[in-house]
Order: sequence, then C-alpha cells, then structure tokens
Amino acid sequence: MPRGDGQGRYGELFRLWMRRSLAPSWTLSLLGLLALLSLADWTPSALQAGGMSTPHLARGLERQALWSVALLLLSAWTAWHGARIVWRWREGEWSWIASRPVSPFRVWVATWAGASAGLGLLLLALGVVVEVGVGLGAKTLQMAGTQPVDYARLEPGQSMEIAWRGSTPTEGYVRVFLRSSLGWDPTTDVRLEARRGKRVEHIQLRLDARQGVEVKVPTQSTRPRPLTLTLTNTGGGALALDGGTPMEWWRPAGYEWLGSCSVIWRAFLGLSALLGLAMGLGGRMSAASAAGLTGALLLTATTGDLGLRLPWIPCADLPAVLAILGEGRLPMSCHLLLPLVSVALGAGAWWLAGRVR
Amino acid sequence: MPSAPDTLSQAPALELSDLTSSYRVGLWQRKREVLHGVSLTLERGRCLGLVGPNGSGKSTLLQVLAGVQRVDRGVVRVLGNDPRQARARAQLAYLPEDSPFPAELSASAALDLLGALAGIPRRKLRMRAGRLLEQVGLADQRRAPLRTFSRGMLRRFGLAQAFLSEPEVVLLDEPTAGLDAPGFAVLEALLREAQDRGASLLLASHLPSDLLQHCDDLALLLDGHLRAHGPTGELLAIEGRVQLELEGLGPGPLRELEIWVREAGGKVRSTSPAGRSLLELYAQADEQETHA
Repeated sequence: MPRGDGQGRYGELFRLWMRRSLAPSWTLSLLGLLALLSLADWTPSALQAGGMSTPHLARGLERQALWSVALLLLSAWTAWHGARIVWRWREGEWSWIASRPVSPFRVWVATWAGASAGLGLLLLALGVVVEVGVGLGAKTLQMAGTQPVDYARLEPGQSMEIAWRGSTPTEGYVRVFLRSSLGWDPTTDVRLEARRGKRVEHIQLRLDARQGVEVKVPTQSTRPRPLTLTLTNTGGGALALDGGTPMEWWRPAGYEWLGSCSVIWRAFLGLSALLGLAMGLGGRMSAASAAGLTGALLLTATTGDLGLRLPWIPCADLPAVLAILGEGRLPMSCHLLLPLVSVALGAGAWWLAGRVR
Repeated sequence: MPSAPDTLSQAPALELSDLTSSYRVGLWQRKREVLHGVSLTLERGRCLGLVGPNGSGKSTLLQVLAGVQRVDRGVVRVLGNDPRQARARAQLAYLPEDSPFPAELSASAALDLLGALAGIPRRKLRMRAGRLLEQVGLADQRRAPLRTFSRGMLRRFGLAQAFLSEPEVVLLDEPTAGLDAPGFAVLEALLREAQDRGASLLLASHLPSDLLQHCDDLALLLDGHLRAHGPTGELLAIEGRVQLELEGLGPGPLRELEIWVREAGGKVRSTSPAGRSLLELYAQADEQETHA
C-alpha cells in the first residue's frame, strides 16, 4: 500500500524533466554548432587592420560571440520548452500525475526544478565547449563597482571634479566615458587625474569619439582616503562626460575563463525564471502564444538600460555582461536578490498557471 | 455515534451528489460545462459500468473521481474522502483514456516514476513492478521505451500502472481499447484479482458489451446527464421479452416450436445461429495459430 500520509516522492519526476531538458538531438546540435563557431575568427577586421587586436581582446570577443549565439538559441528554446510543459499536462500527462497522492504545488516545483537542472547541465556543457574553443586565458580585471555620473560639458580649458562615493576603490582602474562634441574638428585632448590624499595618478590622451578613459587608482595608504577624479579638457574642442554610462571601478581578479562561469550562473538563474514564467503562461494559453509572450518579456528585460537600473531582474544584465566579456574582462558578481527573484518567479508562476492544472 | 474511522470504513466506495464540472479554456479561463448534476453511488466491492456515447462526459467523470479534474458544484467522495485530498488518491488507481505516459521512459522506469509518485516504498515497488510487467506480458520489453510500444502494449502498460499499488478503488477509462485477445485475458485476470481482494471497480466504455460480464451495475451517461442507473440485468432487460438459446433442434422441430409460440399468444422476434463471444473467437484463433 502507498504510504499512510499519501505523499508521493518527487525525485523521479525531477529526473524526468531534467532528462527532457537534455533531449539528445537538441543538446548535441547546440554543442556541435558552438564547436563549429569556435573555429571562426571573431575579431572585427577593422580592429585587425588598425593593429588594435591583442590575443586578450580576441579571446574576449570570441567568448562574447559564442555565448551570445548560445544564449540566443537557448533562451528561445527555454521559452518554448517551458510553455510546452503545461501543454503536455493538458494533453494527458496531468492525469497520471494528479491521480497520485501528490501535492500539485510540489509537482510544479519538482518539474520546474528538474527542467532547470537540465538547463544548468546544458549551460555547463556549453561553457566547456566555449572555453575549449577560446582558450582559458590569462589573469584579467573584474568590475568591482559603479557610480552614476551626471552629464557635463567641458569647454576647452575647463575642468571638473568627481568624488567617488560609497566604498572607495583601493586598487585597479577607474573608467569614465567621455565624448568629444561634434563640430568641424571632433577631436580634443583630455587629462584624467585620480587623487587619493597626496598620491596622484593621471592619463592624458586625444579623444575623437565616445571612449572609455581609464586611470590607475593610487595605491591605498594605511588609512583609507576618499578618491577624487579631476577631468580637464586640455584640447581645442568641446568635451562631454557621458552620464548615460556610470563610472566604473575595475580591479585585478581571476582568470578570463571565470567570465564563462559568471555567464553560466547568471544565465542559469535567468533562464530558470524564464522557464517558470513560460510554464505559468502555458497554463493560460496555447504553447505558441505562451512562448511568444515569454520571448517578448525577455526582449523587454534585455533591451535598454533595465539591467543597469534593476540588475535583480532575471536576464536583464546579460547583454552588459556579454559586452564586458567582449573586452576580455570579468563582470561584477550578480545582484544578491537575483537567485531569490528567480526562485520566486519559477515557483510563483504556479499561481499564474491558474486552474488548468 | 460511530467514530470517524468507523464512518469512513462504512462509506461507499464512490459517492457523487449533484456533481457539476466544467473545463476552463482560454486566457480568461472561461467555463465549459461537461457534467450537469450527476448523482451516483458505488458500494464497496461492487463493479459499476459507466456507458455512454463519445463525448457524453464519462472520461470527465472518471477524472473528477481521480482528483484530476475540479468540481464546480456538488459533492464527490472516494471511500468517504474528498479526492482532492492525497489520502483519498492513495487508495485509488486510474487508467486514463489515451495512455499519455512518458514516451521516452522504458516500461520499468515509467513504473518507477508512477510508483514513486504513488508513494510506494522502493523495494516493494521494484518487486511489484516486476510481477505486474510479467503478468501483463511486457517482461521482455521492460527496458524498451514506451514510444516503441503498440497501442495494445501501451494499454497493457496502463493496466500495470493502475494495479501497481493494490488499490481499493479502480477507475478504468476504456480499458479494452486496443487490447488484443491475450490483452483481454490479462484485463480479465486483473479485474478478477481486484474483485477477489474486495476492490471496487468503475469501468467506463462506449461499447457496453465489453463490460457486461463484470459489472453488477450499469450507469448511462448522455450529454453529461445521468440518464439511467441500476443492476445490469434489470437495466438491459426488455419487459415481456425472453431470450432463448436452443441446441440440438433441426429446422422441422424449430418450425413447430414457432407455430406453438404463435398459438400460445407469443411472437418469435428473431431466429439466428447463436454466436460465440469475441473473446472465445480470439481464443480459438490463437489456439489455431499455435497448432499451425
């Protein structure tokens, strides 16, 4: 006889959905495609011709390209896969599930968790293919913090000071994004100075477009002192501080391959939430409509600056993370709330699914 | 006053009172009513045949009893419990109409999954699954994925999963659909075993002849309404008519018998050679093939 309390075990259901997320034809096609793409050279010819390409940058660009293709395909597949789960239930699978002494919510969680675990394993396999194709790489910088800045315009000879608020950078580099104003001569010279107490570092360069300018952070003295940046327009054209992109602090961190780990973790959290959302919507409409709506929501989350403003939204910061990978650097650790939001979305979509179950 | 467990142990196997159930469709979950005010009782240890044409609501009724489909109005009890409670579902088995089991799993793995969801302890599950696969004739295919099974084999697998937990209440939706002659024998044996154990059975079919020999009672469902319910013999009997099966009479005596019936005020409505049942025909064909 079944157990007295009438509660079933969910491990087999978890395994079933993990297995379904790793359907051999799909998994092998994706891995094979990525392996083929890793044979191509992803450095733009303009960079190569200008002699600006370095092995570090080439690896970063390849890593960015491979992950972009993989995540694009994987997110579309996840939306479709998730939307079809409740469709499968409606087509009959719910009859052998719900007639057992199970809790429908636990069935939902086991299904979602199993399908998500399959996605996680697939992401790990993709990571191995990417890193084998790209090469693990050398030590690099990791983004350690950002600080919003206001738009500002500096005429020739003008300068401005920006104080770094919050936790003070102790080492590495600070980067600000500048733009030379349009005109008959769109170039100007700029000096960026970083001051901490009596210690000063600076950089002077010619600017002819929008560009990120980095200055070394003066090493930390025994007592932490505030960091102040001074920006001076030393050229003949106008200069603008780009307020659309925050000021960034980069510090020496691990190896380049850790960038793939960061993408895997973020994509796992993001795609798990996406999967749950598609499952929930699948309870209210056809699988095609649910997949389409999920895709539209994903597009909304990943376009614009939503990822910068609300980095706890699943998938929202992936484009920015991929851009950082393209520089051969490592992104910031993901937002602390992101795992919680993903779990809440995946499990909470149960209520979204309504009474179809 | 009896205590709660006593009351439950005396409760009918199945009890429906003024049951209304509907599907919800579309984004706004609009209702489409399928069952309208159905009331029905199945006492413990008895077998009820639920008959009706396609689309009459038989499958929905079984889904309601299995806790798969929700109820809009009315009362549903399985052994005195609400089937939405896991406790009630732990004591019932359900064979869905279309065998929608996970096609990528082997028969053995699928039984592991279904048994685990039923909460059957692992060791007992392994033993029982092996025995049932043997009983339904799928022991040799235990490692084959269900997607490679024929319709009849899937039906046999469906029967195996239904009887996995030795249930007290068995709900079978179109149990004979797709079954071959040995499959019928398997079904017969499983039903007999369940009846001997004292289990209560509800068999739904749009072909009542499949079920008659097992069913104590028959219920007729038309357009979601229960139109008739009673003992099988009574329900199918036609008042004033008797069916007579004769053996050993030639055409002459038969003609005399017909004249005698007419003179006595009766009427012979039809005369035709007595037919063997489909099962007997299957068995004979099987036997001939074996000999050949």
